[in-house]
Amino acid sequence: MSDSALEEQTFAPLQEGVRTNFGKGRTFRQIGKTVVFDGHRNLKKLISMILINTLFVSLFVIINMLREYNPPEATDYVVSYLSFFSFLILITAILFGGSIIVEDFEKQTGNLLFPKIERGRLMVGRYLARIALASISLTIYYVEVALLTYINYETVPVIMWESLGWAILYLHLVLSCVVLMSALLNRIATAQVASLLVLLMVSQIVTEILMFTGSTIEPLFLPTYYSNIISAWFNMPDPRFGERPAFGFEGVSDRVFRSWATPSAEGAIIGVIIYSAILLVSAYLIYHRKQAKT
Amino acid sequence: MTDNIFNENTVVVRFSNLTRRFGNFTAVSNLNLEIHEGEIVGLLGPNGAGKSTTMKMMAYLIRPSEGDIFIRHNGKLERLTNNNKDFLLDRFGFLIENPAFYDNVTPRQVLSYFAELRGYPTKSTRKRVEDVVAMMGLSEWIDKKISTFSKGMRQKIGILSTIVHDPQVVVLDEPSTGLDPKAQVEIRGFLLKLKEMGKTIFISSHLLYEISEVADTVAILNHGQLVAYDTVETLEAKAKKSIIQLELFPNPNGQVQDVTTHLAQLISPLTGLEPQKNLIRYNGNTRAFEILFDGNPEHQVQILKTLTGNNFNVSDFSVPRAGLLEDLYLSLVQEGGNVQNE
Repeated sequence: MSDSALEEQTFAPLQEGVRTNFGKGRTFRQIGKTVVFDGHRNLKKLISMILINTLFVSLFVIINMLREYNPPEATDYVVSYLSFFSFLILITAILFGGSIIVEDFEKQTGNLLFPKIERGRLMVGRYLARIALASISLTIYYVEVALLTYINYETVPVIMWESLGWAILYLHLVLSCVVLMSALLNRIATAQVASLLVLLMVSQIVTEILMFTGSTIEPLFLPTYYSNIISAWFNMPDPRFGERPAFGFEGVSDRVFRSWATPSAEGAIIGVIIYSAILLVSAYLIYHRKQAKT
Repeated sequence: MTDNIFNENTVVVRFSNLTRRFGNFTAVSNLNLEIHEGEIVGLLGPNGAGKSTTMKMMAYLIRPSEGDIFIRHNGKLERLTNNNKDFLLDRFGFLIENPAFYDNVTPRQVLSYFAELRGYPTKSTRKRVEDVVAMMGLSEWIDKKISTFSKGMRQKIGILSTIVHDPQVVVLDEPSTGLDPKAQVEIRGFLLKLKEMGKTIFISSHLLYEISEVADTVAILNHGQLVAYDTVETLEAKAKKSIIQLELFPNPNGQVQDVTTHLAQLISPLTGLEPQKNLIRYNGNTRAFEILFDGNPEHQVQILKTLTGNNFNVSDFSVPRAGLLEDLYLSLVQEGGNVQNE
C-alpha cells in the first residue's frame, strides 16, 4: 500500500442520518441480508443435493424398467419413488443444517461476525436460507418424479404436491433437530454424524421398544414418525395403526402389538410446530451462551 | 490523560470500574479508562492480561460482572446495554482475535454483507467496498475467493471489515500478530491514515513496538489490572529513563565486554541516573549498545559529543520510541507478576 494510493482515496464521513433504520426494521434488514449472504454461500450444497436427488430418481427409473411393470394408477407410480424419500430428507437436512451454528466456532468465523449481528437474528437468517435451499432441492425431486409420471400416464396427480407440503414440513422438523445438534457439539462432522445416529438409530430403537412393550401411545414424540405421512397421504389408512398378535413366548401370546402407520394431518401439523419450536428455542439458548475456544 | 486538548466532551468511550470474572478467576479488575475522540489508545499487556476480555466486553460479546461501559451518542455518554447496543455499536468497528473467513466467498461479498449489517446504505455499499479495498491495495483481489489468500491478506481484509461501515471508533485486538514485518509496517501506516481521517482507534497488543509507533496514549494491563495509563511522553517521564541505541563501526565483535566497560567509564556520569549495573549493555539481536539515561535531551547531546570526542565511530545514535517504553513496561509487568505470586 503506497502513500500515494492512500492519498488518492477520499472518504467523506457517512452522515448519520443516512445510516439505515434502527429498531425492528433493523432486525428484519439484518435477517434479510443474512438470508441472501448465507443462501449464496450454500449454493454449492444445493447443486450437490440436486445431483444426489437426480441419482435417486434415476435408480428408481432403472428399477421400474427392470421390473417391466408400471402400477395402473399414477399415484401408485409416484409413491414408488418415495420409498427412501424420508432418508433423502434426513441427508438434506444434515447437509444444510449441520454447520449452521457450529461452523462459526470451529472455523472461528464468529470473531468477525458476532460483533456485527445478534446471534438470534443470525440464526433465523441462516435457518430461513437453508430451509429455502433444502426445500428447493426436495421440490426438484418431486418435479422430476412429476415429469416421469406425466411421460408414463399423461397426468400429474395434484395430491403429490400436497405430499411435497408434508415433506417440507417434515424437513422443518428434521432441520430443527440438526440445528440443536449443531448448537450442542463443537465440530461440524460430529454434529452431522450425531444427527444421523439420533434420527435414524435411536428413533428406530424407541419405535421397536414401544411396539414390543405393547404400548398403544401414538409416537408423536419421535421425529422420524412424522415422515410416514409423506407417502401415506396418497391413501390415508383408517385406522392409522395396525395390530397383530404377539407370538413366541408363553404368557405374551394374549397381547397385541400395535404399529402406528402415520400421524393424522392435524397431529402432524401441531406436532411438528411444537416439536420444532422447542428444538429451535433450545438451540438458540445454547447458541446464545456458547463461547468460542480461544 | 494529561493532554489539554482532551476534556469531558471529547470522551467517546468510558470504562467505569469494569470487572469481569470467570468463576474464581478475575480476568479484568476495576478498569477505569477513557478514550477520547480522534486519539489512538494502545492497550498493552502480556498474554492473559485481560486485553481481549476488555475488547469483548466493549463489543458486548461478553457482559461485565461489574461496572459499566459508556459510549457517546447524540452528545452524551450512554451506558451500553442490551437494548441500545445495536445503534451505539454501529459507530464501532471491531476486530476481535483472529479474523477467519468463509473460504468460498470473496472480499466484495463479505465486506458488503458486514457493511449492510451495520446499517450502511445498500445503494452506496458497492462503491464503499471498492474504496476501502483499494485503500489497502487489494483491488485486484476483490472478486477472488478468500480461500486463495495469504494470512497477511486475510488480516488486511479483517481490518477492512472494521471500517467498511464507516465507524467512528475502530477497535483492533492484536491486528499484527503473526504477520511479517512488511505487513506490520503497512498496517501501522494504515492506522495512522485512519487517525488522519479522524477515526478514534483502540488497539491492543503485546507487541510494544507496534503500540509505541502509533499510539498517543498507552494503557498497560497486567493480570486484569490497569498498571499505567498515560501519554507515551508522560510515561517516559515517569520512568525517568530512556534508552539510546548506539551502533559502532566497525562492530566490535569479540571485544564487546571491553568496549562496554570503556563506554561505562566514559558515559555513566553523563546519564543523569544513579550508578547501577547494566547502565550500558550490548543487545546481541540488534548488534547495538543500549545506554540507559534520564531522557534529558541535554544529556543525550553530551553523550554523543563524548563518544565522538573519544574517537568512537558512531554509525547510529537514536532513541527509539519502543525502547523508551520497554523498561517501564517490563518493570510494571514484573511488579504485577511479583504481586500476583505473593
